[in-house]
Amino acid sequence: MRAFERLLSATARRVLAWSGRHAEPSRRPWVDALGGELELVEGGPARLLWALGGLSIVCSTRRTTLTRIWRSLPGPLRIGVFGIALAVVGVVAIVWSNVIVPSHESDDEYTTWYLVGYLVLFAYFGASGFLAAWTGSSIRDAALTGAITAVISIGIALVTFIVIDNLFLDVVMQQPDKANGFAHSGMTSQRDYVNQGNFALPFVLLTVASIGAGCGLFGGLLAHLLGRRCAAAV
Amino acid sequence: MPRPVDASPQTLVVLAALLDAPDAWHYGYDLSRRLRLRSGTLYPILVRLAERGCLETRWVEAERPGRPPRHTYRLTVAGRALARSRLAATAPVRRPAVEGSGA
Repeated sequence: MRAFERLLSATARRVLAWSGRHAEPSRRPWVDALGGELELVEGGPARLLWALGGLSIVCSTRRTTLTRIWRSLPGPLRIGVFGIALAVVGVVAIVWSNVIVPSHESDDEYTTWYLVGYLVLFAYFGASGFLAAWTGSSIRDAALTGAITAVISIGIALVTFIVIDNLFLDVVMQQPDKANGFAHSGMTSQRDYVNQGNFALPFVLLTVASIGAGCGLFGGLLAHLLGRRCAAAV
Repeated sequence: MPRPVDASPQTLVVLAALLDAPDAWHYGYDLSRRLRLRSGTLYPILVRLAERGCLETRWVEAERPGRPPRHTYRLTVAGRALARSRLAATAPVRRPAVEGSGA
């Protein structure tokens, strides 16, 4: 039992040492202040709990810095930055996998990866809402950020697909899924075939916006919940 | 109407405790126990108050040799004014059970 107490006390000291190293220089004395009281706290669990206050100081520091940077960005950029960042990655990945190193395997081979990809996308939309709310935006704006992130990123990705399909039609039509789909479509023009679903783009974006808003809302709620605990409701 | 800055329930409790003995120096651990606030709640409040010039801080030598110095706190004049205005504006405030004040 005493060994366990000692272990918790040692962990508490390590937590404070870590906090001291990672806190903003101006706030390090506050971590030292927690350390100055630590020896008065009785019991290993209570000491560890006390030392966790150091993480709060680090957390509040980082949040302040992040908020400052975030607020210095122009409004439109602030709300669209997540979508633009994801769109850049998406465009590179789409051009790479469809034109530069085109895959000759069916999409069915990658079902699991597609599923993982969708989950990552949803998490990203949620993260955009989380970061927006974490840096001071309302929950409504967090949902809006999620929706805009989704529309910008998926919209640019879909437009990239349309452009590639038309510019590199001969390369794209070598994909097994597209070749089979065209063969069974009864259509005579490959170009008409690859463009047949484009009219649905606005509806797709509307759906994507709803999903993004939902994810952003969830992220925003999470940020407010964590922020309240982290910033100690100051 | 949005809540004014430094008017969270926890902040008000801290302000009330400090204002109860405005001339005394208060230890963080004592405040934490008396107000039943965890360090992760109390210290960010103290940091914020100090950074706004509402809290005066001082290091004092530990009573027992070999132990690190302790940080103590008391409200500045501006802090007392802030505490009074915040507490008056949000009355009736749950006053902390003050069992002997400060250092």
